[in-house]
Amino acid sequence: MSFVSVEFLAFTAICTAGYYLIPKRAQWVWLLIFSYVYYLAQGPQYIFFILFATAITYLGGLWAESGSKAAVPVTLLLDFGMLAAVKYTNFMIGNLNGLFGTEIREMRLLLPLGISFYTFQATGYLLDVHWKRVRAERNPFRFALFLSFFPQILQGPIGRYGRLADSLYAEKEFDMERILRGLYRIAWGFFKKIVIADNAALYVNTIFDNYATLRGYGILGVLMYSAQLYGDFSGGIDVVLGIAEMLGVSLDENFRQPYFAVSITDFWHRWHITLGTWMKDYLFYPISLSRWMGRFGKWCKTHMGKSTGRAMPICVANVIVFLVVGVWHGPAWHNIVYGLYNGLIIGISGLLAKNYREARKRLGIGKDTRWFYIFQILRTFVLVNISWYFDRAGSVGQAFMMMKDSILHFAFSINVVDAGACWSGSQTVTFCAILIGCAVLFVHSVMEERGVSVGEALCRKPLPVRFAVLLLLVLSLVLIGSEPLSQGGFIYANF
Amino acid sequence: MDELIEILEDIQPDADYETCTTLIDDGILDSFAILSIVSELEDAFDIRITPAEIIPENFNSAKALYAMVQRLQG
Amino acid sequence: MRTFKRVAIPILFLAILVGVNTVCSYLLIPYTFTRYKLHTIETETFDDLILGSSHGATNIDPAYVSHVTKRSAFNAAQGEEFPVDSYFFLKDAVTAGHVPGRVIYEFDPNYWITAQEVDSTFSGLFGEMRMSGTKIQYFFAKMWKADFRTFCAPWYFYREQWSLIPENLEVKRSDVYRNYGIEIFDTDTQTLEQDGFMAIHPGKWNDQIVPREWSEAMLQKDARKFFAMLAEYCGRMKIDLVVVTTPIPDETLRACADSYAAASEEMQSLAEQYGFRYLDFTSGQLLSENEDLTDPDLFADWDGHMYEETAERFSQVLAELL
Repeated sequence: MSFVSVEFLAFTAICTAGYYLIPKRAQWVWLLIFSYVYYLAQGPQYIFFILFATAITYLGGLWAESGSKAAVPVTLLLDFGMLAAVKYTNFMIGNLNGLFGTEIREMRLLLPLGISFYTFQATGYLLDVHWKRVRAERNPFRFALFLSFFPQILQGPIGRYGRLADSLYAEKEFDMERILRGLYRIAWGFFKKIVIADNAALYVNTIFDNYATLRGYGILGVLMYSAQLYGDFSGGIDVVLGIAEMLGVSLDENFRQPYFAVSITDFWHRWHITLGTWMKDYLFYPISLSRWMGRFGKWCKTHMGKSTGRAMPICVANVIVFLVVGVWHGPAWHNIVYGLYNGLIIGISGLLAKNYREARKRLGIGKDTRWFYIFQILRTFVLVNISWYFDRAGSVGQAFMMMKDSILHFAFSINVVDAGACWSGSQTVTFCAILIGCAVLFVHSVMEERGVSVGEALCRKPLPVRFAVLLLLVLSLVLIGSEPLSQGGFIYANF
Repeated sequence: MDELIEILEDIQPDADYETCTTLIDDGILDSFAILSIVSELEDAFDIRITPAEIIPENFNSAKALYAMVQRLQG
Repeated sequence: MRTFKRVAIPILFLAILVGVNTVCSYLLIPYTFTRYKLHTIETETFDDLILGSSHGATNIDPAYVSHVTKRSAFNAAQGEEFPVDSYFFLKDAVTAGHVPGRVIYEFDPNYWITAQEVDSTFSGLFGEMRMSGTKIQYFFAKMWKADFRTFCAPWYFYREQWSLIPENLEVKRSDVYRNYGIEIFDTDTQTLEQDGFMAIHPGKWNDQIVPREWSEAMLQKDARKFFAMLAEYCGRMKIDLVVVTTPIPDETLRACADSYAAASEEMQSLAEQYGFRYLDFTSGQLLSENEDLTDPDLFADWDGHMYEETAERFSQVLAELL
């Protein structure tokens, strides 16, 4: 059930309308039913996996709360075991075959939709129970809703039980303002997806899929990928948050103007935030604070001096975390390089943090130096774009070759895409549509970055203004949105 | 308490630890700083800090940090 | 007052949205022969109703069929009419009270191995049907999973054609439009006739053969499913069903012989399963020696769209077999 289909809009409308018509006590049950209908509609064969994760984690939570030492490792093993089995079996087989010349047949496994997201959500819950941050959920059906809430199940944001549970199960009054805020957010999400991402996808696919013949277009391709990935993923999240808003459920934000980040660390505080914080809380801290890391830290302190020694274990933990992030993006070496690249940059800048501070002091660059701030943003944007080469390319070799060609054979032409696939057969029009979309997004981002919540500010404007903005947003989907053929699903729905 | 403030200022000098109560909420301390603090506190006060302690409530102010240290010592 | 405002605001907004949408549709969506063909089968009863793709529209001339069979006939086939469309066209005619005596379904194998393209015809075939229970079923079969813009704003497919607005307005305000006239479909390349036949004038369209392979993997599930529904529906309604694959240029047949053979085999097995007659003019068995209907010069393109005169000759041959 694609977000942009008639079916999904009807589904959401019926769910929302019914939600406020039925007795409030039953609202969460209503959500559970719709969530399972939605998940079943993605393919009935996937249902087993989510039921398994739900049952295991529900029982694991109760078991962990009873104080058992075995509860957490056993449950984690089962949850992650299932994820790893469906996601990585073929990658391992492929590599084994490559290494040892064996001929193990690859298995035909189906990757259940959204499995990463609900596995992360489930394991986060388990550790929260273990660390006594939340009490284990007693009602299995409520717990099932926590793992399956339909707008977020396919591409996040990854929810935390402590924050999500209350608003998920609470009884809600109908509130027109909330519905309008939700609708605005949904329209804005569709704008990012249909106007920016799906139009940019034409360029991205053309350039990356034909990199051997269309040499040198890498920079155009990767910039378009920047636009596509952000438009697609954050647009999808906007739709999710908008629907949740209409249902009175508050989910965590997943993006905060990522391309205004001043460092890669900052970037990960703004991009896919819920994945970043999940990794930090449930992987980074536990690794860093583990006994063997502590011993490693002591060793470093005696051998490398106090401050470097202190930073060393943190850097190592960082690289491990980003390795996991890379592997999570897909079992392929180019994703592992993507993760390592991020981890190493963050690790090294952590090690050098003190040196930076001193260098800046000596150069007289204060906190508020404007040109330096802009320089930092541009530098980070370039570093992020380099990582996108690895993220989008089909292999590490392709990424390196495209980077090399980007410099040595630089080429740029908006006519690189096939005119037949473009808006009214014109590359110029398609390119302009992307530019308009990005310009609107840029203005929106600058406002949000300055602390203005555009959605809320809009709700305070007089009615005609609100109407005009919403109408323009909706009409732009039709007027400058992509052709229906060129669009696929959402990128992050495949994790 | 003074020893604690000294540790904090060594790791992240750009903050007023006497008064600030939103060290985490306002992003003054990032995860790198948090772990550096943990590492120093463990050495200085001879305590062990587990992942369960890494919550904003324990790190938002110098006072909260001090309370955590005392609790873990006791 | 507050409750009133709470309800009135969204309704007002929706009204504006619907208003803008309706105006755009009126201005941008042109009059197409789909509207004419659907209106005709919804208002008249025919002994023979021809359904299928563009090959059916250009190759089967109801006038020449009728001449031989002495039965009334109408050609409701058109380009990009997939099995799902044919099925609901038939159902639309039947539920409007115009049950045909026989359905002649023109089977173009290419339509069964290609996914339906989402374009102006895709939404037009649905959009021009009268409102009815059948149309609601059609909606769920076809529009339900489509991009919401395809259904909510079908003028989207004409969004770049602002320059044609004056022309559209003129047509839509004329008697031709009101009376479902067909004069305006007369162009240099083709003429639509009253009985739904599309006559192609001399002139080559396209000679470049693009073979498409018929394989189990490429076979579209929806094509088989809706064709089966069409066959079953005919059985239930006591409507005779005859399936025809029209002749193709011999050069094309040579280039794609395996595909046509495989397609023919598939349809033959369906014919046995559902008990209808299948007349396959690509196999060569149905055309006698002196009946030359495979010379490339008789066709406007490699794909098998016949010139008007070829179609007339073929229609007589076909009618003799019906």
